[in-house]
Amino acid sequence: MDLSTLYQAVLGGEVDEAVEKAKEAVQSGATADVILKQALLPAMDEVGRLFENGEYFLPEMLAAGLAMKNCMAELAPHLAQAANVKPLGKVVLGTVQGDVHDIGKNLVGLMLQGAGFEVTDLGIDVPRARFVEAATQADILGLSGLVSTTIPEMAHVIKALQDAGVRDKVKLMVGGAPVTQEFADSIGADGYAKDAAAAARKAKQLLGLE
Amino acid sequence: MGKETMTPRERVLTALEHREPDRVPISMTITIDAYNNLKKYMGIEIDEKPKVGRWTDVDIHPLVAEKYGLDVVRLGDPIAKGPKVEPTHPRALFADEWRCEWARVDRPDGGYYYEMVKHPLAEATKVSDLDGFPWPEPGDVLPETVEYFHKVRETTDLAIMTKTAEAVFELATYLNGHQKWYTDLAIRPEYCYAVMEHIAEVQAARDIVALNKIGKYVDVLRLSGEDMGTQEGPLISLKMFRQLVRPHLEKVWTAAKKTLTAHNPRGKIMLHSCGAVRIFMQDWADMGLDVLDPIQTTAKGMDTALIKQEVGDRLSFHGAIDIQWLLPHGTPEQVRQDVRKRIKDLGPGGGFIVSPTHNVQGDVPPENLIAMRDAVWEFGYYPLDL
Repeated sequence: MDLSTLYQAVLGGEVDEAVEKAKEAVQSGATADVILKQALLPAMDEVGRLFENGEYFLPEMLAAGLAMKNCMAELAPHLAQAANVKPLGKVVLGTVQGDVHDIGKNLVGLMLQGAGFEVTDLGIDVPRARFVEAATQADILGLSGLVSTTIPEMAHVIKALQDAGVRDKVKLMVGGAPVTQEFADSIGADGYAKDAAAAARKAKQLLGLE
Repeated sequence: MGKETMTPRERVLTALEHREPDRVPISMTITIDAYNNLKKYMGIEIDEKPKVGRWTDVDIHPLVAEKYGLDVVRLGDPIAKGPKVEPTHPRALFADEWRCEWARVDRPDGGYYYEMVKHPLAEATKVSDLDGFPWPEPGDVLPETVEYFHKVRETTDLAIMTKTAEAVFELATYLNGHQKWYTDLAIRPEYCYAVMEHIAEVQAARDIVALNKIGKYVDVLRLSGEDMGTQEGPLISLKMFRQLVRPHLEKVWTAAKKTLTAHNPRGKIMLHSCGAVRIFMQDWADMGLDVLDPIQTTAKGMDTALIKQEVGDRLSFHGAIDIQWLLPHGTPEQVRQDVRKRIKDLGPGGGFIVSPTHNVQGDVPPENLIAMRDAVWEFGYYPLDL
């Protein structure tokens, strides 16, 4: 089964074409995990590389992400049956309370999904208690914030995790325009990444997968 | 401190004509929280009820501007908008005339921001979906607004900055929602082109109407915000900019500049574009832009010395004093050193107005705003000796 056309369609952000190719691949007998591992994940890996090289920009990345997401939806029933497809880990993401920006977080979600993680998105303006609640069900908790005045809330979330005794149960990643490695270190986060592609790599590192 | 030999307005106009004034001019836009903090710190009590804008920004009262030492005063949006639009989203506090709906988002530690919760073109995908969309009328400038501009011109020596239209590219983002818009740019280019064409028509008409009324008072016309960069790089490729965005911006800028300079031959047009935008600067200069704001120095590649070298003979710069880290978290001494560096990089030959890189937020200590001004007074007199 030649999956290169599917790979190319995802990489090129051709959303409808990609879904068509994914359907064809399933019909011609390719298993979901092969389609995933040989076309979708490598395509998103290449998207990340092109983005980091400055050859891809936000629109190209989002279009490829959408193509991947729609293909995944197409494959979902088949993936559920495939016992040998396990996610790399579970990631729960959210934008901290007081902040409703979400495109950066959504991109991180797409790239994590594209790297093979299971991603749950808590959305925007997320209260501390919801992060605390999610901490026990995730391998990685990702906090996003876009405004210099909202990122101090990340420290409060960490405090709330400590108070609830669950801080050590989860790896904590932070990101967003005003967030820096220094800031991440200062509040005691486990990881920071400057963009979505780097976030996917960092998540693998945090779980000892890379 | 050197000797002032120019009025603030002459200082600004001279700098923007790429000549060295007596010293580097100072400018600032500010949010309500920071404004109140600054006034309190400076012991200024005046009777005013500032109108709070969409970004919680306020106009600095000319008296406060003079007392602080600003050379530029920004006068808020002079266009009287059409009939009020009622919001429909349960969380929305108000709707704007483009039918974007906004909610107040409170932070757990106090303070708030207005954010969009509904985008009117969220479901549109085809050019024909735009048929019948209620594009706003250009609107008009009320006589009392003209009178206010006149009064500020007559009673102060400050350069006047205003904005008579809104954005094109960035407004398209609001109308569609960020994620949808940036995805559409890749997968539905014809649709995106048509959206921007509609918006540009309104904005160009708006600039012409407004500047025919107040153009003679306007020294710097802010062409609204067209953010084209992230921290790490441009939001779109130069190729996409040229194909999809540039034709519409060029239409608006040309109309604005022509009308402005017909009434004030020394008037300049200024683009606000955040982030890592160096790759677009030559195009912007080709398109007739005079001034670029804010030179976000924390974004990748926004090296002030390099930018001055690359495009400083064609563009002037407004901004460069970092609002993300330096002003909120730096010490007054760090602010002082940074202002010195930016003047050294961008100041030679004129063409530079010191300003924070965005509306000053409530987390900026007034001490740092004073340090910014004092550093200009210390290092900003021409001939520069840095």
